[in-house]
Amino acid sequence: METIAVYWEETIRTYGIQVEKNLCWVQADILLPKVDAMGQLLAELGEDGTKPRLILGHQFEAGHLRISMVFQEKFKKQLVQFTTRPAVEDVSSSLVIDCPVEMLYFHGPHFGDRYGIADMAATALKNKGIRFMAMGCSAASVHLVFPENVGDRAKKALGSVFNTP
Amino acid sequence: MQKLEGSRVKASERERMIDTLRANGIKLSLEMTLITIRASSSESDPNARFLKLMGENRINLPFLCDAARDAITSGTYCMLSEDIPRAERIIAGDKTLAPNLEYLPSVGSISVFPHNFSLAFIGGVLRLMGESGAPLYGLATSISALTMITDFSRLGPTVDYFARHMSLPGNHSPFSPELHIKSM
Repeated sequence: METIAVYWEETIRTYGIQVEKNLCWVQADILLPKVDAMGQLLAELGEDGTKPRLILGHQFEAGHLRISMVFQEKFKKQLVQFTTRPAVEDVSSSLVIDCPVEMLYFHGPHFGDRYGIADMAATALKNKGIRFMAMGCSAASVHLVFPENVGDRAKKALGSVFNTP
Repeated sequence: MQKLEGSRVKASERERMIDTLRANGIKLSLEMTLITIRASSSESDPNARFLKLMGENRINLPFLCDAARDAITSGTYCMLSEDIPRAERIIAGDKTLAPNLEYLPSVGSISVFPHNFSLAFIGGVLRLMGESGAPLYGLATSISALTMITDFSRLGPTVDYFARHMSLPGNHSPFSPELHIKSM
């Protein structure tokens, strides 16, 4: 049996657009066979309470995974110590920390099953001349990472095309 | 606590890790195709063009990771495999976009939830993913789940490996979508 339903909104509804500031952006390049080792090292980093706000990863070239992570700036000391651990240097060919950055995120109904959400966000930002450092969409969540002092402008740009409570 | 180096983990420590890796569930996707776009960051960014074309033609991208570094923008996208023939026709009509795309057919996603923004949990799951031997093409956290992209044929074996090394509810069974939403 096939049931046809249409999910249509005049303006796409979100559950609210949030901006977080004073964040650190960490990018680590690793060889795919070292994913288990990097996972273990990240787990160890997390044991002292260091928590990420976002983790993204993609193959930037064949056989190489780039893991991008956002943390609150209060964890900067732990992150710097982490990047200088010999075990981390062994599994990562490149490690970059960029502070401060800002992150914007929003969620919405059935976003994971609907087309055009990411394009609407990217177009709204482009129309205002705002460039993002990263975008991640999975399940019903959309995350965007920006340089410092851009988050509020981005929120305003997205607020003009998305419905917020 | 004594720090562990890489994946050299003692048996007693592994038991503790299994206890740490508590999840409420695992969700699997339908079969998808992974599309990668790499280009220099510029006004005519093909990643933005790709998003525009897919949106205009009502093609959903259940997974998206787009990141820039060293003036190179790299985008990784997943779409249902059934949408690929239509997407290919659309892309073929855009001469600036087509040369920048690479396709990897037959991938799927494993979503483990909730991650509770715990790096111990997320790192532990990544360790299991690497140990399972499944290739990792992409990952992203949402508000609650950690989603990882791998070969579609590896979803079952990877979940079996996770089930042996994580703490899941006793009656747990990974669920796949029974409701298929098709954009019209």
